[in-house]
Amino acid sequence: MLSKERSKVLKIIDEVYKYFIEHSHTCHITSTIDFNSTETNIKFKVRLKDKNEIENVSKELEKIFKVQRYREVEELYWNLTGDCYNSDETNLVGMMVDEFKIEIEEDVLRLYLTRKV
Amino acid sequence: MNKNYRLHYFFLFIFSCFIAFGVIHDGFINVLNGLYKIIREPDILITDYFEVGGIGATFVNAGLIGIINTSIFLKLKAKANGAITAAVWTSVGFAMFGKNIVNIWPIMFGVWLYSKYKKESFLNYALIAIFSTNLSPTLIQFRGLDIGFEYFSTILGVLISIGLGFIFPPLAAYCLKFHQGYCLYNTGLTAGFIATILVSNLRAFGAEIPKRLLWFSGRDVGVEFTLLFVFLTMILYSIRLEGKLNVEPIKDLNKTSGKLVTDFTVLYGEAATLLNMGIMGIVYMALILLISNLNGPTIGGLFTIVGFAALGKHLNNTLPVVFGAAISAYLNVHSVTSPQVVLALLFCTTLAPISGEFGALWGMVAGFLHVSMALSVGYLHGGFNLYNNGFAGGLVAMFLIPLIYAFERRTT
Repeated sequence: MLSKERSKVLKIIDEVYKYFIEHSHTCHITSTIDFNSTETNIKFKVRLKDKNEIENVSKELEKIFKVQRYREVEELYWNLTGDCYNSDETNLVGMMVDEFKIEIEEDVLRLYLTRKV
Repeated sequence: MNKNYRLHYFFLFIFSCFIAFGVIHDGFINVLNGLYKIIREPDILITDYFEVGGIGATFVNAGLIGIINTSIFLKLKAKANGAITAAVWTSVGFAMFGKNIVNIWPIMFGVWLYSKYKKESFLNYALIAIFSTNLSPTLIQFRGLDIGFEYFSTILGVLISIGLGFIFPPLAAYCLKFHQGYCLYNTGLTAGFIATILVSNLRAFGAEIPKRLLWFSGRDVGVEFTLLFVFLTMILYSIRLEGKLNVEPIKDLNKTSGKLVTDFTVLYGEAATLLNMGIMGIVYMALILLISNLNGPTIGGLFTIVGFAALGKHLNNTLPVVFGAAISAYLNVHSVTSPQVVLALLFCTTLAPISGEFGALWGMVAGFLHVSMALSVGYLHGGFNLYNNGFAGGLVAMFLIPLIYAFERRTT
């Protein structure tokens, strides 16, 4: 059985994928996950339609992830993330991540997320 | 003052005002006697502490519960957010009819034990610990079950309460899947299931679960003014934080669905959240005074609404649900002013996200169904679950959400 921590990481990835698919016309996404005992680093590389779309998505992501980590909220509500695609849980994902960084290069957006154990 | 904690300090000031009001209202000795009665008496639904220990003792009990809960979060260095505000104010509300300064501890200790068992910080579980005290009546209830000596019953009550706290966190997290965050009182649904399992087993082994209805029906101008003072103070503090009365964020806030986790402190800031809490408090206090009176349970409902005005509730998504509930209350066989119906009218706002996400019509349907459900499910848990309406609301959401998904055309 997958540990709770790894389940949470998978749900974060699921939710971010859903976000990109929902908020873009066409997109090409690749991601890498780096687990270790103290923290998990997740990297998304997303190719979007044009510069406008990248700017909009980037602004939204900034808003979502600038929120600090709320461990007590996460523990009660993390099961809302992932699984169900009928509603938006990105606000919650923002509360489950410690650090983030966004890089933009032409039509490519890179999102780096760090989650400490 | 550390900005992360200023909301905590503001709430501590309000809870201290509750204690001051209680002592001024009834006098110190009467408050002590009242608190003793509140601690000794069974607490199952509906036990109005105004009737048990008097108004003064009830406010002191609520103030102390508020200070205890807020201090726990301060000790854990948890920044005040919408979820914490909702948990604290819900607990303070239920300290008017079921939670007291003694019966909350075994359950919270059980949650603490679980955090140690999982080798995680208690901070992760603090929110769940505060919400889980909705099963607090379990502690004293065993004394009335006639299952041996009083001491044995009390020890059994303590052990079972700790056990309930221990199993609460995984169940609370899992129950969210049932309704996908459309029932704001998710822990009420969790506690409803737990209490139903407990009570059905007690009944299977011959225990009689008594019914209880203690409901203060008088009016007290002091209580009305105190609550009005609290809600106005929230609005004034919002103005102080912002430097002016800023209603712009409230307009945006009223457009949100309110589905879990819509944390207004994170999305719109503390000033807008306090303004929303104050507005909701005044509007719903007026509604209570229109149909009933301010007593322990109705103030409990009011404070729960005010608390969740930091985590999803606003006028736009709550009023359609209350309207639907009012239609049901008017048409069904129960009196609109009966205690259970009055409480259902207030606590039906747990389903506000349905109205916020799918429109007022679905919100009214949810409110309509909620009243009948809330009047029926009490038997299942025998009043052990204080958040009866959370249980009922969760079941309504579990029924409605798949149907709405099936029949509602979504735009995104």
